[in-house]
Amino acid sequence: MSVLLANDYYDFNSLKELLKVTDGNLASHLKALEKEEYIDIQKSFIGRKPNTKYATSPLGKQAFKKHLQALENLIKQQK
Amino acid sequence: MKNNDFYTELNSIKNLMERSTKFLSLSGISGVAAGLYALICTFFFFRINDSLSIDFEAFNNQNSFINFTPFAIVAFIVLILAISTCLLLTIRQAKKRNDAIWNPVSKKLLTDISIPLIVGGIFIVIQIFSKNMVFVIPSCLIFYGIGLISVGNYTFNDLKWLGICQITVGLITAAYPQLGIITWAIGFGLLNIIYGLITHFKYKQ
Repeated sequence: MSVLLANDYYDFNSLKELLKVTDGNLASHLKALEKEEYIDIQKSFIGRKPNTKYATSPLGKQAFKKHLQALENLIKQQK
Repeated sequence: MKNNDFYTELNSIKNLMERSTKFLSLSGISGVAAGLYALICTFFFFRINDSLSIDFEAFNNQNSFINFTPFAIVAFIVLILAISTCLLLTIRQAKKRNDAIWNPVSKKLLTDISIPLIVGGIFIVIQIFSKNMVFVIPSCLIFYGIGLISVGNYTFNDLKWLGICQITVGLITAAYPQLGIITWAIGFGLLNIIYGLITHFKYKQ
């Protein structure tokens, strides 16, 4: 979510390279995010190769920002 | 203890956002190298021109294209050397950091720097063919500066300041064209070396 929030969109292979995870690992995380409707998916083809791009949905952005806020608050509380 | 975990998570979020939007493998040493090449280049300019001050009366006459050729060749060689060194050292740096070389960020970076460089290149060639050399050196500096500012968004922010400095030197040269050889040394030479060193020591690369 961090990566998607910082970019307009990011494709599957670039995500895989950046996060250094396996296909399956990444796919299952993305599926979970998709289920919560936190991300938007755009499937297309580059030549004959499939190319899938991911972006945050408005709901996803909101949820992530809440998460960041919660982390911040927890840190403040602990001080 | 828990506080540490929160910090770690925030840090890793910040780190991911930075790594996915900025290219951080740029080599500072390549800036120093480019600066040194440019200073050597300035030395050649000085030798060919026989003086530190450019006489445009002599250039902008019938034979100006012939007179300009050795300058153009030297400058072109320096450009190729500087770009190659930068690419080689940056790729080596990326491998050391285990970072991808070719990713969405580096693609955006190359696209963004190509536009001012290509446009600048065409503009300079047009000036040469129009036998009006006065703004060739200012154009080199200014387009280089603009390219650096736009690239600074995708890598170290210091490049933006380098870009601003180059544009300033370029505009000064446009006002005082006869200082071209000196400002070439300052802009492409000295400034590159300074920022190369800053990048190297600030980011330990």
